Amino acid sequence: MVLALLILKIYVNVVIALMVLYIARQFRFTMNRMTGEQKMYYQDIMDSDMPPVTVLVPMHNEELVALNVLERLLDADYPKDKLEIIPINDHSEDKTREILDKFSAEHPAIRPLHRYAGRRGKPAAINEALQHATGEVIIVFDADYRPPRGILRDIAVCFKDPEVGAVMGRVVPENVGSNLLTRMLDLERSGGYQVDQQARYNLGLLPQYGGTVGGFRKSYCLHMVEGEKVCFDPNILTEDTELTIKLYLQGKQVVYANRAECYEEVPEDWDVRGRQIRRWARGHTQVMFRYLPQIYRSKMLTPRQKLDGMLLLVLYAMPPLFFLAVAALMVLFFAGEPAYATLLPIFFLTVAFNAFGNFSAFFQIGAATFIDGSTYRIRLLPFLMMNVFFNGIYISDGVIDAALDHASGRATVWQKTMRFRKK
Amino acid sequence: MKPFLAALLLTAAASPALAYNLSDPETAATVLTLLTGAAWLALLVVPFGPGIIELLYPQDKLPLNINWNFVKDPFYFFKSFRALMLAKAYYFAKDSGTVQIQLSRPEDVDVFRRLQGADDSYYGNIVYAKEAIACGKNCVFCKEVYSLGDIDAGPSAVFRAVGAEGALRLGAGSEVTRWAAAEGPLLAEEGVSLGVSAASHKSLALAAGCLFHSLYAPEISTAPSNAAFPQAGELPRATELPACRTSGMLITRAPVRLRSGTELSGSVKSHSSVLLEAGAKVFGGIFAEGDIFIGRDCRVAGNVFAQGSVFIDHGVEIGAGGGIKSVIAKRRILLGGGVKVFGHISTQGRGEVLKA
Repeated sequence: MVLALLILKIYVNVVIALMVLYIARQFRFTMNRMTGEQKMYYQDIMDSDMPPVTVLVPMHNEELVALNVLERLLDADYPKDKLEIIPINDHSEDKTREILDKFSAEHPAIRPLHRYAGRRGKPAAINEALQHATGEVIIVFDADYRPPRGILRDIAVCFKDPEVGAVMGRVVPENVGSNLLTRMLDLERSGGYQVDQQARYNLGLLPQYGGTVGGFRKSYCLHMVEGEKVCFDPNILTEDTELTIKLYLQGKQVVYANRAECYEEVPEDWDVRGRQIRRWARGHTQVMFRYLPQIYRSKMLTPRQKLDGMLLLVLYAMPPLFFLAVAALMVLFFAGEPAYATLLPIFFLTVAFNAFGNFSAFFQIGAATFIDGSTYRIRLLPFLMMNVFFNGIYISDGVIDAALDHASGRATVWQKTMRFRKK
Repeated sequence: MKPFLAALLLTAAASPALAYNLSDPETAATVLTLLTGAAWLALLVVPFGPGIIELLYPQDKLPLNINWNFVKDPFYFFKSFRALMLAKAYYFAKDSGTVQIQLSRPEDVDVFRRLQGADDSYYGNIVYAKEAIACGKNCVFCKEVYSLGDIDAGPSAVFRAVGAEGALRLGAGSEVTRWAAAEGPLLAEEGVSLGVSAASHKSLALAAGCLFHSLYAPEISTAPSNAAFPQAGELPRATELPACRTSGMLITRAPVRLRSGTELSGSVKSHSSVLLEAGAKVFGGIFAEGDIFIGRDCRVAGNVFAQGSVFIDHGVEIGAGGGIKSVIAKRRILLGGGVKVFGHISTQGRGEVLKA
């Protein structure tokens, strides 16, 4: 009994230490953005010899949004002889196929790829498209995104640096005003990009490639699997996180382009949002199981980068660890250890809110809205408290899914996020 | 009416409280507990107040603004101003005089066929010339200057912004606050300050001591110089490439030193500083998290990009005719004499040509 209580106490204290570490890390990021030196991105480079680019747009039942993204890409400020656009029709059952065929007949730069065999999902779709892509730089947009004219150049120019393996742009929610959820997601995104990603780039840590509004260098990412050159493991649900880690382990860099901004549509429905978080958590934890030891052992990363990488991978495991710690506190209370049940829960909740309840700490979000000059939306900050519990529950579900995936070796099924755009 | 209602409310709220006997310790404790609870609830709810107001009466619910049509264009300001002027050219029928036009606000435009400005002239309005502008020393132009022909400014002229469809010469010691652009060659004489950006579709020649932030031209050159160029300090534990001819990418966390006579076909990336000794050649780009020092008569075919400063010694060539390459530094760019850059130079800090 004494030993069990000791183990519980140690567990609770370890979780607290981890959470404090996350807060310290996020506070460091925020201070860097507010007062530190900012690292330049490559956007000022003008070069008459831009690399050949292939833009991939994975689509599954995207008849509502397919045309919009393609029209925007055709209007891009990029040398036409170096631009190839491949919309990937991934087992669509609506009119996506007809729309793509009709549009590509009018615009030869668009070369659709129709997939009705093999595994469905973004990683598998991109793997297949890479067999056809001619560009050395691969840029990916989700179908609901609306790229501005200059974004391809802003994204592609960083690949002039031979060390850059991938780049991530900034995602900006477009349907902000729809409801409370979209407004909170807007705040989260601001904190996540304007502060978190930029600070990690400034500090030479590990900014993340996010799978859309970003690109990667094909030659650094392809590897042979069963006689075929592929980039992603179709079993991993967050192919972007896996690519990020793989590149760092190769000694390559992922850079962040704050100026490469693009509108996206965020979920307007709590259920849809919950499923999205669950998928992210599941995929992220799959990557954690696979790469955490490799990051620890890597000779390509500095100690600071290793710590940042490990904290990045463990992030989604924190909510279930937190909930278990709360349960441990209750056990300790009933076992006659009231000190562990009075002040600590309050401390726990405060720390949880700061550390991981949202995808950014509240002070990060506050700093981001300040930098963005959004003077009134900052008032919604207290509402994010709800997300601590909402996100925590769905993240825990995702982590449990990933643990079961890991234990059973079962195949995963890609869940597409529902679109809300009106016709 | 309002004070009366407030008094009524206060009385109504106070009367039940008066019914409590606060001298009784138990009652006092209960009331204190209730008041503390109410205060705690209020403190919990108060932070949500502004948010609730924002939700009910939104003032900031539009997405962050993204400029859809933004593309990088070194002539952006010149083109915008030219478009404004040419759109109003209908009003500039006479060969001289002042015309009021509506821009973002009403603006007076001094119209000339050919402006021949005397020394120490002062122009408070926008200046528009149908043929050319030539002015003596110490002329001051408070607003934008636009010429359909050449512009020849004498020494120590001051411009807010200046654009020419022909050639543009800025006399020694002239100062541009915002931008200078020309369709023809742009010549900046000794000590000219070129403002935020200077661009030419033909060539941009800079004399000693010129200051700049951003330059663009198919060929940017500096006047030959014999002045001593500051030398790079020691680069401890540098990765060194001896005099040889080799190809591949050189990527390292350590500083990099390319010895004289080295010819590298490929790019260099260092997490520290990079030094090219005199005469080294890189047929690729150079990227550094620290500073980049390019020695005398070196040749770099690609872009030069530093998170620190870039020092380019006498006789260096960057890029090649017919193409555009960039020299970008966060902190400082120092150009020696006889330097040629085919394309673009930009710094967030101080850009300067070595003084004579």
